[in-house]
Amino acid sequence: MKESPDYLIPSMRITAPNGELLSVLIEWNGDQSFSLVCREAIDENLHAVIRAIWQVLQTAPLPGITDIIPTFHSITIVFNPLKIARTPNHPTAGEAILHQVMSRLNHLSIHASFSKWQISIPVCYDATLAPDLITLSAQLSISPDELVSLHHSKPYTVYMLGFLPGFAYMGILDARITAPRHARPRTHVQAGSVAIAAQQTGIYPTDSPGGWQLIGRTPIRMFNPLEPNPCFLQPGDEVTFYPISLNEYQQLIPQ
Amino acid sequence: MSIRIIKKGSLDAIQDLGRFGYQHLGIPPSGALDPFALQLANGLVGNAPGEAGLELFFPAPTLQFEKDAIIAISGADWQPCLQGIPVEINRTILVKKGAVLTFQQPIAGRVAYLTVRGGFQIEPWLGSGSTQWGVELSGFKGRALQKEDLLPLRSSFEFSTLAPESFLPLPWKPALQTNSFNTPIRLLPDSHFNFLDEASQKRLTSATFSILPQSNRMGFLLQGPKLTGNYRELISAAVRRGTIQWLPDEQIVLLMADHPTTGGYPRIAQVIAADLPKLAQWPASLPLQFEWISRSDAEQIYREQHFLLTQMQNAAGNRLASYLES
Repeated sequence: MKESPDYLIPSMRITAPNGELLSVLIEWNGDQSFSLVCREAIDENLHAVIRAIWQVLQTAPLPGITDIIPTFHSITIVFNPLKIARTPNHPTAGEAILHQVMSRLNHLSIHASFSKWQISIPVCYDATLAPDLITLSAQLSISPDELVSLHHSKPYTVYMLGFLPGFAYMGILDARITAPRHARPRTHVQAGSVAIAAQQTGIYPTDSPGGWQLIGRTPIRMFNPLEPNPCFLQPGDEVTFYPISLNEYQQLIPQ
Repeated sequence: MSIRIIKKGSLDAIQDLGRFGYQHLGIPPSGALDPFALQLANGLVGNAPGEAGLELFFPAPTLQFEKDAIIAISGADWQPCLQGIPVEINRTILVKKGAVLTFQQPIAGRVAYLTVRGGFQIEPWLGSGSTQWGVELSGFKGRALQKEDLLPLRSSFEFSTLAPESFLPLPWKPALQTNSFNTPIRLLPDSHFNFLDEASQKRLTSATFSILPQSNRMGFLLQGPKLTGNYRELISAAVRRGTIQWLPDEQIVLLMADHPTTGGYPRIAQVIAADLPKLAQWPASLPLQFEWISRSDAEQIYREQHFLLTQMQNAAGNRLASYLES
């Protein structure tokens, strides 16, 4: 290697909403991207920090940044070096934009409730729309009704979107219904399928292959390219599911 | 009026430089696999560098011009022919209505671009003309072109001095360095480089790899020595074009234009932005080697590449403009 690895630089300390003092590291991902990274976990407190960073950087976006991608415990900033002014102190666009980002975050204060949207999503848990409900509840040694009720009894945070346009990773599931992915993914999962895997729940936005356990279906269209905001959910949204009957589902499904 | 697809190629799709600003919604940037070649082809017809072009893979399509057009082909050289007569890549060519474009045989390169002056008549989706597979509003109906598709052109020209179905390559071309495939692709280490054991860390830059045939626009699968160490899968985080992921079978994959926005495999390194176009054209038959570079050098090389392109675009644009005026 021509120079010592400089992709790991301890950077700043932030107090999470629960009082935990978090180290946020800067990791370089190539010459046009870097990430701010907390310890690796799916945790509401870590995500509150990620959300706060995201919201600060989204307000009055810095020129040259092309994408800001929040995930469970990290946030990645992608930039175009040709659109970033360099300075004598920061002779590369990379250093210059990192410096600008860190200055923005200097006085970051974190609130657990940092402007969250609360979204209600109807889910039909009828077994005809939930191919894994019966077998999965048997595996977990609970009744299908218990599984369903544990799924819609608490609000979830949208930690990130990925895998497909509009696919939201939500959590954290009650420990009693955490389930493994299918060893062999289905080749076809229908759009609107509500699914669980490990500590997470999600909704397939379009017809696609998929390995998660399918426990219901929503009539809401999660991805609509005709809309100016094509994705129904955004990172940081708070989602509550509520059960509907098969009849209600059929009435709500867009014709 | 349009370009008619007489015979479809293996994957003919509209691409520009990509769709940025939506990765937090899981919407990938996509875009041209070789952005340098697309920008070059745009420069040769006097378009803005990021205008959408037609991206082609071999076997390539057969196309017929249903109106006069000014075209350029850059990137891979598959011996393009108009009316059966060979034409050069990286040339500005006036094409008369009725002329048929074919590609004879793969000589060099993996991906080619066809641009037309004025661009293709497509509506951008979320600010980009790139094809996002399955999203009908992007590129040309969100899909690859098929036989008998009509790809509409935005601008009209009338070359009255040219005979029907003929063509005229203009008498200039840029002096370009062709991609050299005997120098290594340059890397920067990424977050999980230290997951590799010491021997494998060294192997990444000392061994040779080859690009497997099942590689595609989403990623290039590499065949090479096994990389071992402290493998584990991660909580998903963002990935980029050029990210090298370490897979459970101890091989590696290079993410390319249609990569998903996030992934959970260890990210051991990142190809520098300036080398992504060359990587896109890398022949499957040639060994691929990596070497480390510094972040500041990587950025400098990217700037130089952009400077070269801009110079070429300005020169080509000016020449073409004065030719069309005279």
